Amino acid sequence: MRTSQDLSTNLHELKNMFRNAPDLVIREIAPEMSATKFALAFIDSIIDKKVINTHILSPLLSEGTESMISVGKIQEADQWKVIEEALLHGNCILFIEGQDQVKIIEAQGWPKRSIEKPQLENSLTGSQQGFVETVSENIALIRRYIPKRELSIKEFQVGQRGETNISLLYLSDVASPELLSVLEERIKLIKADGIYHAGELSEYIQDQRYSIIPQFLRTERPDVTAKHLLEGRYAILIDLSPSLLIGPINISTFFKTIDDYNSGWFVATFLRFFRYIAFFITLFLPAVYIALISFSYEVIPVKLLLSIGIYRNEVPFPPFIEALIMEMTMEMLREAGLRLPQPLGQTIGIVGGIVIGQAAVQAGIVSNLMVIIVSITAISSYIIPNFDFASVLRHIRFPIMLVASLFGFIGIIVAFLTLIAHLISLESLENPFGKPMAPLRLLQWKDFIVRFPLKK
Amino acid sequence: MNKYNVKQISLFQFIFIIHGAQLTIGNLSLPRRLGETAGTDGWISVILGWVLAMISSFFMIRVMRRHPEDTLFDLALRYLGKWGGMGVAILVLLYYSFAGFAAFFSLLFIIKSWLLLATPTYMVAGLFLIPGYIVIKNGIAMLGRFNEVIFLISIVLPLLLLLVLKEVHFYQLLPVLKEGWGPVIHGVTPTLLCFLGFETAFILYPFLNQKEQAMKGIFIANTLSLIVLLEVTLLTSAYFSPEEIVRYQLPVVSLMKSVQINFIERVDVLYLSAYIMVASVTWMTFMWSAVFGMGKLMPGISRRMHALFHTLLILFISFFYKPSFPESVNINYWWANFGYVIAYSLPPIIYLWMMMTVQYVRRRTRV
Repeated sequence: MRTSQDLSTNLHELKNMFRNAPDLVIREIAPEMSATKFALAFIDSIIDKKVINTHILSPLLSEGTESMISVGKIQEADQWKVIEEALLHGNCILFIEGQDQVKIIEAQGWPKRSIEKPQLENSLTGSQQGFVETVSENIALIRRYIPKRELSIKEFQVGQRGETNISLLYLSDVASPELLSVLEERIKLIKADGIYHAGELSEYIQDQRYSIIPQFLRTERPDVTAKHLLEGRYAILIDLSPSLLIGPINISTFFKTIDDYNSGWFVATFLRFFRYIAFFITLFLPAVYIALISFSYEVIPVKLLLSIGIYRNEVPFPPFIEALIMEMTMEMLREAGLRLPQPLGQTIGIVGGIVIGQAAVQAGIVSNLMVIIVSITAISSYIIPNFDFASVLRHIRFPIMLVASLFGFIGIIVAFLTLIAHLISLESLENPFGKPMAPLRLLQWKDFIVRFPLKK
Repeated sequence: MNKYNVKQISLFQFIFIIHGAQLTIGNLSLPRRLGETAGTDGWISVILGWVLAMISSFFMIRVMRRHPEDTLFDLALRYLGKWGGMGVAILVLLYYSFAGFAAFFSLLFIIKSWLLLATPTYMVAGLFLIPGYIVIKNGIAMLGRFNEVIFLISIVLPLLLLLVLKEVHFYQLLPVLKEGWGPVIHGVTPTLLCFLGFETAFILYPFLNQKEQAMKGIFIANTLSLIVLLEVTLLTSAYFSPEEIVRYQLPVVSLMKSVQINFIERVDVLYLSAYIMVASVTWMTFMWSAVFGMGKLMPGISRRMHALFHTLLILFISFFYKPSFPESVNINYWWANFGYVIAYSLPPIIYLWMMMTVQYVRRRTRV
C-alpha cells in the first residue's frame, strides 16, 4: 500500500496502524513562514529527543522547509511497509502536505551501556574494549582495527517476529568467496521467531548440528575479531548480542589467546603447552585415578599404593562414586558462584572451601588424594581460554569417568579414540576441524603448539 | 574427470594409512614367532619380509599407475567381465573384511588375556566399535585424518621402547647367521603378516592427490614399519635368550617390564594400553576398506548403512566367538594365507596379465 498526497488521510492510516501503540507521537506543524503543512511521527521510547527537538523540529518551525533539517541520514519512501519498519526501528517520519513521498529521518536513541572490559576474555596487556549490544558500535570497533575498503559487510534479517540484524564481516580480498555463499545460504535457511544471542545463532548455522563441540569461536573482543578477519575468516555479528561468532575455526583456536601475540614467543609457547596439558588433565585425570584405583593398581609404586590405601580405607564409596561426588560438588559450586550476585559470591567461596577440603577428608567421605585431584582438574579446566570449549570439556569428563570405572584404562583409551574420531570428523564451515594436525599442515604448525617468533 | 576427485588424501595421509594398517597387535608377538623359527637372526627375516612387501608394492603401484582412477574393485569389474569380476571383487571384499575381523579379534584377545580378564567379549567389542563406527561411516578424508593423529601419538611408543637400551646386550645377536640361511628363510613367513596392510593402496591410490609420489609413499610407509619391527626384534633378541623368548606370549610387553621408573611400577601395562590404541587403526582401516568394497558391489545403499551393517555384524559375532590363544593363532594363520594370495601374489599376477593383454591388443591392432 502506498501513501497518498493528502496529509490527513496519511495520518489517519498511520493512527489506525499503530492503534495499540500509545507511545506513537504525531506532531502536526503549520509553520508561519509557509503554506505547507507538515506532520512528524515517531515512537517516543526509541528516539533521541535531542535530535528531534533541535535538529528537526526547530528548523522546521523557524524556516518552514524540510531542506533545513540538519540530520545526516534522510531517506524517502512511499510504501507503508517501509514506513512501519522505519518507525519501529527508531526513525522519525516526516509527512508533507501535497507529497506522496515521506521522509525517513534517522533519530534513533535507545538505552545502551558504554564500552566496558570484556567479561570472559580478560587480557592483561591487550586492549580493554569489549563489544556492546549495538551492532553498529561493534562494527565501529572493528573498523578502528582494519580501516580498509576491503572490509566488507553483508546484512541479513533473521527471525519472523523479533527481526534481528545479522551482519557478516570479511575481508573481500582474503576470505574465500565459496564460504561466503555457504554462510549466506545457512543464514537464510534459519527459521525462528527471533535470535538474540551468538550461541543460538551458532547452533542454527554450525556444520554438525548435534555435536556438543562448539564449531564457531564466540568472542567479545574486537582485537581478536580483527586478527581473525586478517587471516581470512568470517565474523558474524548479531545485533543485541555483546559477542560475535568467528568461523571457520579449528581445534587449535580454542587454545590461543590474544596475549600470546603480545608477550614473547617463548612465554607464549610455554603457556600454550600448559593449556594442552590442561586439556588432557581436565578430561582424563579423574578417570585415570578411577582406573588406577579400581583396575590397574599394580602400576602404582608400592609405597604410594600403601599410603593411598590408608586414606582410602576410611572412605565407604567406590572410587567412581567418590570422584562423582567431588566433581559434581565442584560443578555446583561453580554454577552457584555464577548465579549469585557479586557480594554473595564470596560466601560460596568460603562454603566451598569447607566442602572441598580437609573437612570432607576428616569426615571420611572422600580421600586426601581425591581432593587434590578434583582441585587440579578444576584449575586445569579454567586454564583453557575458551569458555565454551572448557565448559564442554568439563562435562565430557563425566562419561569418561564412567567408562573408566567400568573398563579401566581400556575405557579411557576408547573414550580418547572416540573423542579424536569425533573431533576430526567435525567441520567448521566445511573446513576440517582437526587442522593443522589432521589433515597435517606442517606450515601451519608455526602457530599451533609452539608460537614461533614473528618474522620480519 | 576423476570420479574420486571430491575427497582426496595427501601423501602424508597415504603413508600413515598404510603404516597404520601395518602396525598390528601381532607385532608384539612377532619376536616369539621369529624366535621359534629364525632364532637370533630374526632381524634378517624382517628385512627379507620387507623386500618381499616392497616387490609386491612395486607391482601394485605399476598396475595402479596404468589406471589412476580405479580401485581394485573397479579394475576387477572392468577386466574380468560381469561374473568373473564380481567373483574377484567379492574375494577381495572378503579379504578386507576378514583382515578387519582377524585384527579386531586378535586385539580383543590381547585385551581379554592381559587387561580385562573378567569382562565379557561382547562388551569390549561394543566399546571399541563406537569409535570404529565413527571412522568407517565417514569417507576417505576422515580415515586419513584419523591415521595422522594416531601416527603422531604412536611416535612415542618406539621411543619409549628405547628405555630398555641399557638392559640389553647386543653381543647376543652374534654370530650372525649361526645356523645358516635355512631358519632365516623360514622366519620370513611370520614377518609377511606384519607387513600386510600395504594392499590398502589398491583402494587408496585413486584418492591420492599426488599420484607420481605413490611409489615414494608406499616405500616410506613400508620402511617406517620396517624400522619399528627391526627395533622390536633386535631389542627383544638382545634382551631375552633364544630359549626364553619363545615362552612369552608378547615378548615386547614383557621386555617393557624390565624398565625401571620410580613413579610407575609396571610400565608394560601402560605400554600395552597405548599400543592397543595405536593398533586400533589397523582393524579400522581394513573394515573401512571392506565397507568401501561393499559400497562398490551394492552401490544402491548408502555408506552409512553399510558401515552400520558391518559394525553390527562384528558385534553379533562377538556374542558367540570367544577368542582364545589357539583361536587367535588360527585366525592369524588364515589371515596370513589369505594375505599371501591377495597382497603378495595378486599384484604381480595382475601386472603380468596386464602386460600380456597390452601385448595382445597391440599385436591385434598392428595386423
